Amino acid sequence: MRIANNVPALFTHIHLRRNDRLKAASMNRLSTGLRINSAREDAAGMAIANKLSYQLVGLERASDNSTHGISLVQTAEGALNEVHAMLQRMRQLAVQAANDTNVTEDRVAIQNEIDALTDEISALSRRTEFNTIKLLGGEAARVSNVWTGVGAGAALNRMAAHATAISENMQAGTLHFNVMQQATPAELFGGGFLPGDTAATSGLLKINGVMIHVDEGDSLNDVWARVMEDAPHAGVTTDAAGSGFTSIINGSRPEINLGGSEVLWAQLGFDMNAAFIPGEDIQLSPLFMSSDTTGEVAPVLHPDGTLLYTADGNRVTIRTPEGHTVEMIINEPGQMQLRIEEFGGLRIQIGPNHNMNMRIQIPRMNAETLGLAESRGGQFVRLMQVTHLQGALHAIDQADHAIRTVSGIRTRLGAYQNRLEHTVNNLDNSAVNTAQARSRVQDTDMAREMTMFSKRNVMYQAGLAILGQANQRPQMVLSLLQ
Amino acid sequence: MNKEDYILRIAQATPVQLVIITNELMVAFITEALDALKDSNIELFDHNINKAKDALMQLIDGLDFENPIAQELYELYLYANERLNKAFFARDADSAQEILEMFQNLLEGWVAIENTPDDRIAETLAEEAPQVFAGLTYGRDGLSEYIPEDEGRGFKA
Repeated sequence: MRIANNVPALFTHIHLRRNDRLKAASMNRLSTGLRINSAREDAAGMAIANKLSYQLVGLERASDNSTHGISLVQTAEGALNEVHAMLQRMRQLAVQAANDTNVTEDRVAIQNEIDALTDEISALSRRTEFNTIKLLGGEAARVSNVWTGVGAGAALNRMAAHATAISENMQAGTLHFNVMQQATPAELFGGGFLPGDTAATSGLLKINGVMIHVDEGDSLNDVWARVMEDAPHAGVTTDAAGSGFTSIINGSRPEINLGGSEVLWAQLGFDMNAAFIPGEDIQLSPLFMSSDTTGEVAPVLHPDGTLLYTADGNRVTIRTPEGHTVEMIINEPGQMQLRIEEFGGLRIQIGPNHNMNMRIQIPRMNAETLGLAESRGGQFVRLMQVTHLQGALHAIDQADHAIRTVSGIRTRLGAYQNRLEHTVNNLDNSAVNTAQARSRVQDTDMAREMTMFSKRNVMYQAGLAILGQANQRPQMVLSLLQ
Repeated sequence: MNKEDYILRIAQATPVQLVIITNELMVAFITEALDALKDSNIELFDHNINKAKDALMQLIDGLDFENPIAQELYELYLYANERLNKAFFARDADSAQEILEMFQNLLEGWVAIENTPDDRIAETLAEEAPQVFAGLTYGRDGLSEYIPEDEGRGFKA
């Protein structure tokens, strides 16, 4: 038996045993117990689980501190900061391309950089993981599923449509809609010439500003081959049959305008001054929302009776009267329901009671969900096309939309982080919304100052500093070596 | 980095020495990450940045907010985590270098007080046997003896 004759030392010893102290009956602080769970552990989820099939994710190890939640959120934030920077760059490039002093070659160079950034965004999204959870891959997203058909014939159909963004506070419910009209491309009919013919004159063929030079006497076959090759720069495609031009992007925005030599176009079978047939955006009618809690079925309408959604190609943004938004990509026509579940996301326990938890929801974020690309029958189609003026102008809007989406999620993550940080250091939660609670280190210079300051404090305080920091377990430090 | 050396040191470490080792590992992981980046070995870079983040998480876990210095260090560590994320996603050497220097500095502070003689802080965790102090162990509610939970008894590698 040892008898201590150094009472302060005894108290130091007790303080070192932080875990023991927390178990003491006199503890009146909330435990900082933290478990990160997935939808799998949600009772409501289990009941519906056999009807739906969605990816279930859970962290294998339960942690007893909130820092892992913070690390997770910061990882997602770090990734989205980078995506945001790339989107800003893409917007800058689109603005540059929209300047009509550019010729096609200039715009092609800009397009290449935009394409590289688009691929980089997708690659970065794949690299973003926390403890094997792909944070931007949809594993932390609110669960939603699309059913096609109605009544007894309704079936789960992943390919028909999917939601790319759902407002965080949106209540569970079902969106009912009928896709009257899918998105279609712009078209210009015409074309057809005799194989042996040659160009009657020298001149230019212009499609959406993209120019093809023709010399008198060039074989029309050769000319058409060049038209086919350059058509994608103009945002259109065509084929050898000369059956007209079709825009690559679907929807009401793309244009097909011919210019240059009327004679040469006539030889190729086109009336240069003919108007193109515009494409259509997707049309939904009707559009109802049935809420799980109220059971009510209400049309999603403007006060003036028109439907509350906007469409760009086959992307739809729906706004409910409560101000929530749902964004979807729709690939098929017909009757559909989007079932928005209550669960989904990563649930983090921030207190000892069942209801003391917070849910972290991060939607899938990649080139497709941001509207930069789409998958058509297995092909990767890029939606930002700045090689012609009209496409560059559209690209500015596309970039703005993507930037808004990313900014919304970053704001959400910032709020999560604030809440978790206060759980770690047990500051009064009422201070959450005020800046004064934290002296945030935000830049390099401040960090350097703070480092020196802290280092001096460590040396000066010695014993107290050790009590403040030296509470690790050897086993944990050892795990860093594995 | 010699793993055996570290394992040995961890086995014998006092609490402050564990902090020193963790800071050293931070520095080592970031150094290796920067080397990997120079060689364009992205996988190794990713791996080491993630290890540095793990070490950082342990430092945050080890904070006891009853002491004011914990809040200062917490601010620094959160900033460091943001910078490491920036380094990871943007493959940015400067951000990583900044945090490398931060922890080299902090390490100096801890090393300077490594041998603080005050009290039990100098005893190794691994050696602690349950300690019973007659007359000083009675709890608020009764006369049961106070025996600390022997989680530190013996160290298993």
